[in-house]
Amino acid sequence: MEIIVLIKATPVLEEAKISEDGKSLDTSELKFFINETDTYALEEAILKKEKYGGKVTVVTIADSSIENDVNEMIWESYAKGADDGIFIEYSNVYLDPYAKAKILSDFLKKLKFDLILLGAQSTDTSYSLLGQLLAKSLDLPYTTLVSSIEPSGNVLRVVRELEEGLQEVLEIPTPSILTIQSGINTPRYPPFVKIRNAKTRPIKKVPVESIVNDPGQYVKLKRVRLYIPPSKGAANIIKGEPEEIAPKVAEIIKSVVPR
Amino acid sequence: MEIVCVGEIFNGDVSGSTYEALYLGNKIKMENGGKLTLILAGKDPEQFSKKLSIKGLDNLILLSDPSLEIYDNESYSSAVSNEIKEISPDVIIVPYTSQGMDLAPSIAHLLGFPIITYCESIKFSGNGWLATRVIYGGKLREEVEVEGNKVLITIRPGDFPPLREEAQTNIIKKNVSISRGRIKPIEIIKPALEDIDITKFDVLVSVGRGIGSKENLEIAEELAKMLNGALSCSRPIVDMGWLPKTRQVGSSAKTVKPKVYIALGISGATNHINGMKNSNTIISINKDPFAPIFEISHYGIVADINDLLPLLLEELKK
Ligand SMILES: Cc1cc2nc3c(=O)[nH]c(=O)nc-3n(C[C@H](O)[C@H](O)[C@H](O)COP(=O)(O)OP(=O)(O)OC[C@H]3O[C@@H](n4cnc5c(N)ncnc54)[C@H](O)[C@@H]3O)c2cc1C
Repeated sequence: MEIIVLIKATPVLEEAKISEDGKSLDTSELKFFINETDTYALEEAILKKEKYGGKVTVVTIADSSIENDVNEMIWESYAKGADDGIFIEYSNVYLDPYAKAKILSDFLKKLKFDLILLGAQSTDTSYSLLGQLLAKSLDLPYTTLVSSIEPSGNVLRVVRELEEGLQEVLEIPTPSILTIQSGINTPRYPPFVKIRNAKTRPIKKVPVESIVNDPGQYVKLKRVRLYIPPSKGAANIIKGEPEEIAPKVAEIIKSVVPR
Repeated sequence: MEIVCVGEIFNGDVSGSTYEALYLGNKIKMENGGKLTLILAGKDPEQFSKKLSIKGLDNLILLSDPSLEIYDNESYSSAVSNEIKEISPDVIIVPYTSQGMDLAPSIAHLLGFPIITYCESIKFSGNGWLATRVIYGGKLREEVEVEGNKVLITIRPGDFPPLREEAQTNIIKKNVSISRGRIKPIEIIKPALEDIDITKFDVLVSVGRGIGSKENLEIAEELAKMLNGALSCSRPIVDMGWLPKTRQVGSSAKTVKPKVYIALGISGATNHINGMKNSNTIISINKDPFAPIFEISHYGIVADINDLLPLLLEELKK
């Protein structure tokens, strides 16, 4: 199976800082890692390759200002078992899921693949939209929140997660796009030496303009403002040395727990 | 203004989030005037006509066909979109449940509507729709604008209260004929329930990724027992296989309302807090002073669990 995995570098955020334009996140001090559900998508692709043969290509679209973290992310994917990595670079433009779907569809329609996998949701902008929009652009069948994939003949038997522990089983032909829910597998942690060795392998850099002109024109969901919601915080905040606060916390618990 | 909500049948009943979509639809209707329509598709949706006769809802359209028994995005989206086309709405609201996440983008595509997912609020701003979205796990908000007067928005289960007051609603029943697309739905699997029911406990000690280790999980369980409560958790704990799915709290799992909810190392993503924010007393322990869980907590304890939890247990044993 030829599998393309779309991965996204998302930041770890404690205290957020907004840029002066009031529309974007100040990323200068942030570290970016592969988005959580994408790690499951990548693992699933590698497991399928190990079982049925084929190739795994990771593709990411990212701002060139976070190039180092994106490179690390792709090298780590190599160390886990990905064969090729493609980094579609952009700068000085805001891209929404519509613009990204347009870029990816123009880029991917020239490639041969059986399956595109990606995480069901990103931890940053949480649109849960890219896979579905891309499927529409490429006119491929899709389904979302997938928790199991088993090839049977030229169709895939797929399980999707519903609420309250229910699941739906369906059959979907290839090529198709599946968005992956966390928990579908147990993502591997590659040993440090493997990551170090992977750093000698090339990453294919593709400037976004070589795929579409002026990618910003495809944005439909314009971000006009980004802000930190006014915090009311907890009604009562308790902090201090553990030895000092443990008795206080114990008192609080005793006072609210019914006897 | 024409407003259409797309409802959902889940596990043999109308999903709770259908009523939440109606709440938002009715709110938009009150602000702008117009009509509110609910479309419900399924094998036999007529059985719900009485419960869906709701104050504020003008029209209820029930689309039935045997092939709509089990959902798939291709046949559902074509059935629902054909119906929506006739109404020519300004706003379409779909709950972003598992089904909605699968269905809504297809409907938007077939109708040529832009889709904005997980909207917390929405208003018409003259040249387009302006929506507020909760992002970065609840730490940030963004305002997103789409041009034009048509939009499909999706909402997160639990973000809005339900609209349920009974009244007269105009009911339209239609048989539709569906042609299957490329996807073939097979069956729904129900979980084997062999665990305690966390919704029945007065006290829940709930662990998140910040619990860090299985040893800490044992301490948390000891704490739960000591308080006559049960151990529940956020999603990553289930993903790692540390606790069964039956213990998961959140918008895609169980909604709980205990007297006391103690959150240990849970960041407070909307998907989680929509399953527990109505608990009587919420006590959260988190080392990140900016953790969104503190926003809904009565007591927010900024501390490292590894240090505090063993000491806390000692204190409670005294
Ligand atoms: C469709 C969909 C449905 C979902 N449904 C649900 C759902 O029903 N329920 C659910 O819970 N999630 C759900 N999620 C996942 C959800 O979006 C979050 O990813 C998840 O809730 C995060 O869990 P967490 O808070 O345990 O982990 P994290 O967000 O990783 O937070 C861990 C927290 O622990 C703190 N911490 C770390 N170490 C320590 C320490 N030593 N001491 C104290 N604090 C520490 C950190 O500061 C952080 O705040 C869903 C996601 C999707 C895509």
